[in-house]
Amino acid sequence: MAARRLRREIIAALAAKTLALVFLYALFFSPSHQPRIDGQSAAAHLAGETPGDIR
Amino acid sequence: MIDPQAVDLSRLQFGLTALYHFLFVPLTLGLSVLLAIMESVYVMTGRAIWRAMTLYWGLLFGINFAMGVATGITMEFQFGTNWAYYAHYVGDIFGAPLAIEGLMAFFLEATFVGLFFFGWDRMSRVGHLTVTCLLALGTNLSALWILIANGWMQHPVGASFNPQSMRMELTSFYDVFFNPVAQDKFVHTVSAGYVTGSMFVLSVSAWFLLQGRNREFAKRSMTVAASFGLASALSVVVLGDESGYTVSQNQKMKLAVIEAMWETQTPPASFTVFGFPDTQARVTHLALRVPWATGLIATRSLDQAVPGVDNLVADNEKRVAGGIVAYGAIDKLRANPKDAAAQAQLAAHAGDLGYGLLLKRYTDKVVDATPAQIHQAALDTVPDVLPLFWSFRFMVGLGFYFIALFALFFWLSAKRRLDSHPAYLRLALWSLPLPWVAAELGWFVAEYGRQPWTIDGVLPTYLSVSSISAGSVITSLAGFVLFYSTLAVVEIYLMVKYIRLGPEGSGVNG
Repeated sequence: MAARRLRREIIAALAAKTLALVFLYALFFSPSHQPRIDGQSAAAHLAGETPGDIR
Repeated sequence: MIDPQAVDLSRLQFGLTALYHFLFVPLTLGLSVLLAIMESVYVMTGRAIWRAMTLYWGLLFGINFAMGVATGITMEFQFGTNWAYYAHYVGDIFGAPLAIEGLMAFFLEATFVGLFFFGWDRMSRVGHLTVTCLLALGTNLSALWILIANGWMQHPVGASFNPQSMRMELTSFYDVFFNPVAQDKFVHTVSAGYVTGSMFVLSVSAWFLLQGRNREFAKRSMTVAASFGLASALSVVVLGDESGYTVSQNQKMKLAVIEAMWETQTPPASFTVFGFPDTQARVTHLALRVPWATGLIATRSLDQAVPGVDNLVADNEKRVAGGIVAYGAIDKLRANPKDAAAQAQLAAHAGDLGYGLLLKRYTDKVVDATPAQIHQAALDTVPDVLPLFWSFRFMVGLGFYFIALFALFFWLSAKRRLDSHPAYLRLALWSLPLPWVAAELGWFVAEYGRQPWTIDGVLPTYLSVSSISAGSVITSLAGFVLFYSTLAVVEIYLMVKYIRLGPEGSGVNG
């Protein structure tokens, strides 16, 4: 009985956690929130190259 | 332009999510091995009480696993959003162990968790014991791959910088895997997890005895916890000593700051057990020192010096100057990849490139940095002394306390007097949170002591953060705090509920 109740509680907690993680991801971390970094933008950031310098 | 507030908030967000996640990890690590020990005794003796112990502690393990699983994924969310330059610069190396952890170790662990809970009536005793052992192995393998990734951040090996792609690229997976820092961190961390699991079993069992219930169950559980806990606590200290040695070889500034050692001492250096570091006067007041100890731990010798903070700053000024040469060479190589002179310059000073990048905080024209800027960049290589000094001492003090506590209960168990001293039982009960405190302090010492770098000596934290607004980080940070706090409340609620129910109320009496 207790084991069945625990199983229900854990499934509910896991479902709520999954929803919360999906919500956090969609709201703050989805691809639209991620800057695109490549060699050129890294060079601009780290080496201070201006776009004209970037090859 | 980089927003310093966004940098600090991104660090706070990542640090908090790591600390929250690490509340679940050590208990999973420790309980998985304790389950394998208890079930082994069950298989060898056939006595039902050992089956009940495996089932009950397994049930509490299951609650912790369910609450903790996937809580680390939020850190991976942040790599792409808050730490995009970091992800670009070192993703080629750092990403591999993370991916292997997810693909191999985590799935191994998750598969055997399922078999552990649902396989009791479907497998032979030996078959189920094998599953439990593989569950413990999978759990520990997860930790291994994460600590290989983290060890690389502390001591980057097996990689080189490519000026064309502007990133570090993997040259030797063997070196990354067998990185001595990663190996030391792994054994030290999993041992700390075993201490946590043992303390959990000891404390909950002490509560049962104080309540006068489940006496045989509790006493057997305490015997296992005290024995395994004592061995693990001794391992933590011995392996911590080994970590001290590797830190002294690879992160000299971290060691000097932990010791608040301002100047290089005449070898062998003493260890400051207690004192009040004065960061302005650069002395440690009322210092209680153990002669030779730091020298022996850090150099394994009596005649080698352990460099002090001020001496390391002077050395780092030279490395910043070398970094300027490397930085200039990269500019030339990006304009002409075949420039032989620039290639030679970069080869000679590649190890100092990160130190040159420290100047980006003060000037966009790194190659024209002034002596004052170079000096300031060298001073930046010193992490804050007070948080590291005190965190380390609390962690070490707790480590020795665990040895004493487990030794006491080991002795009581040998004398069959586990339930004869309520005061000792209360001590065990109230010691329950301390392994988590020690583990979090250890994590803090490792990560805060690495500052100002994300990758030690290679990439400054300041340059690792994406160009994002402080406001967006505050909002996501608030979301994380709410998420993790809720999880912690649910975990504690379920744990307390099923501890109160005990083995018989939870329906696992064997």
